[in-house]
Amino acid sequence: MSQSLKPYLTAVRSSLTAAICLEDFSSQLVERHNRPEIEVDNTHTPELILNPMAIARNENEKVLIEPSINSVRVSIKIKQADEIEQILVHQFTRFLTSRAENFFILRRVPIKGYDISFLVTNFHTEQMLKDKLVDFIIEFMEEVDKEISEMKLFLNARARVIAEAYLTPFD
Amino acid sequence: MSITYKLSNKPIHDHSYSPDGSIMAITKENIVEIYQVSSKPTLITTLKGHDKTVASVDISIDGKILTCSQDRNALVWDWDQSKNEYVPTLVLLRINRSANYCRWSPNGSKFAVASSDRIVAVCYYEEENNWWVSKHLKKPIKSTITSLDWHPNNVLLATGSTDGHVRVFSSFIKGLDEKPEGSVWGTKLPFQTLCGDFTNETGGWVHDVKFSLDGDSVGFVSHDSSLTIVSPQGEGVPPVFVNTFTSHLPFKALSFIGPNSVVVSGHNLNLLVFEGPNWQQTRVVDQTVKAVAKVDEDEEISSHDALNMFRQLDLKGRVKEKSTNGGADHTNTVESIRIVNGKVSTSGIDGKVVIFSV
Amino acid sequence: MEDWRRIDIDALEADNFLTKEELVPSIDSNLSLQDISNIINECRNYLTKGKFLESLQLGLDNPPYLFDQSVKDQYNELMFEVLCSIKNNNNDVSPIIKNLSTKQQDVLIKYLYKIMNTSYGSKQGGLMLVWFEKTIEITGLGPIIRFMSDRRTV
Repeated sequence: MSQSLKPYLTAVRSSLTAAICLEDFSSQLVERHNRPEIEVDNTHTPELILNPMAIARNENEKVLIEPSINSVRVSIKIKQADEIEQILVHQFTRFLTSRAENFFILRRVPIKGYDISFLVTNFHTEQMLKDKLVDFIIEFMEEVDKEISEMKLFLNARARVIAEAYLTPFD
Repeated sequence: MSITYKLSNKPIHDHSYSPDGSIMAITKENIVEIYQVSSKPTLITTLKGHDKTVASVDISIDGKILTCSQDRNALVWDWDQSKNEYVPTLVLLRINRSANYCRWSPNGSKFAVASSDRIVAVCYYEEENNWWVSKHLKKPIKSTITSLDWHPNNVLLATGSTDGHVRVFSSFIKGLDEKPEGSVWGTKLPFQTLCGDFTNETGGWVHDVKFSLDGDSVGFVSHDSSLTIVSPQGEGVPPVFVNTFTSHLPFKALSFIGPNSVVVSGHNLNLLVFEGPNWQQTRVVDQTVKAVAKVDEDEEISSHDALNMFRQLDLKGRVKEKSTNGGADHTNTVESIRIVNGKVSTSGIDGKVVIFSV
Repeated sequence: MEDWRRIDIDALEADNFLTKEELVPSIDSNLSLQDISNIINECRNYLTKGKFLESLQLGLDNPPYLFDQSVKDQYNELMFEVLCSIKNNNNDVSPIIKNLSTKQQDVLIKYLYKIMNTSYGSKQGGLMLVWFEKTIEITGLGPIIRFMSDRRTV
């Protein structure tokens, strides 16, 4: 792991561990409903939302953690150095979000300014161990960088092969 | 020393014992399970009457079982000798949000239900109609009430809510209660008198509140990982306020085990003892002594190991040691602490009940 | 006809609800605007003299909880300067963090999160993360929890 990645992931990990302290909380506004408080309008219940945490490695790599009493929203901005990476990240996250139901905590739409969002509710923490949930998100962050740069290499290699194939007749 | 019983795959939000400790009730989704506790808990019956998650259960001094649920209702279950089963009695709570927490008063003549409707319903029995009626404690609560506790005098009630306040009310009901003796909380106590209103400096959600054994102090744990003990000194004198911030994850429950000691647990999983008058942590009850693995300072460690190490640091007084979850018996958040026969019993999201000798 | 589905019916019962302002606990603080700018100057003075710990402690002891956003922003920039300058002049920040009181460590974490959320702070993310990592190593998770749940924001 590169030197600068470690403090970043450690910060995300400890922030997530602190944020995912959730409880079963029935809505105090709507009768007989139990809804993720971070996702609903909180003009009348500001006390149920906690201060959001921003963790930035640089301008292009950020994590936003928004905690509430029964849910936490985690949004990740993935590193995109050039246009090719932008396209790759877009396609990659689109692939994942269109299969969101298989990932349990994945949110179908990322929040503005970020590439992918997760929503962890108290029902997730009841079924799954918190450590594993945090591991999953951290692992995702590690993998996605690797995946994108790998794809970029493939793309370049392929472009080169194609260019060579096209240009051989003129050799 | 501890014994663990894995009773469910679902969260046990609350559990309760009969006064002699022979019967235990636990919540399990929409139902409440009753166990006979001898050497090992054996299931004797289940109480089915709620249609949403049961949030709290309490057994009175005379064996009546009180349950309340997110479906906005509370029920009182009494053993019917002729039918050989528990029979529910209606409670007119008159609230229209979830009922979160319920407790019998010490002598069992009334009980209180805390709700998300920003109301505490104080309920007592009305013989002619065979139901329980309620009087509401409302002002000045403006947020969900998460917990409450009775003063030993059967009249005062402490409530904790998500606005970060702990409030002490009088729930004196004419014709039912005897006039209480004057105490640090005041002398004149008509219904709905606010005898105390406390908040700590951060104003985090209050998860649990308890009176001390003599009733002269009130302790609470809140979402800023702190334990606060407040002792009022009578009228006109500011209360003694001890607020201990810790480096653990937030506590969800506390219980006094002596005049100067409390046990707390919650998201941190371990059961901790705090002792007065400074209310500092003195002990981790479920700490298992493991060989200390020395971690080389210069060694490159992964972030996962690093986190484990940090967790060790904050859980175990800065000793470097590797273990999966700090030696805790619970694997997920602890939600309630009860005292039974001088032992401490905890239940949590992981579906376990653990009994500790402290 | 007005879109009645979108009427905020809960607003009609306003008494029942908490407002954001009511959430902030009362704080005994008689800092005036003048005091804040004095503190800012004083911190910078300490920095130029190389008194890093004093500068940091002074900054962390007087966060402008009760002021509006513009004052807080100004103060954030000061803290950013202080933290950068300390890191650039000291290889290891751990001894400095160890010299802070628990309260000061809590406030330090508040500022680290806040600064990482700004554009100038995220450019120096690596530097802030070093501070963050070292602090958590010493304090455990408590300050993070208190950053989240504290109603007094910086």
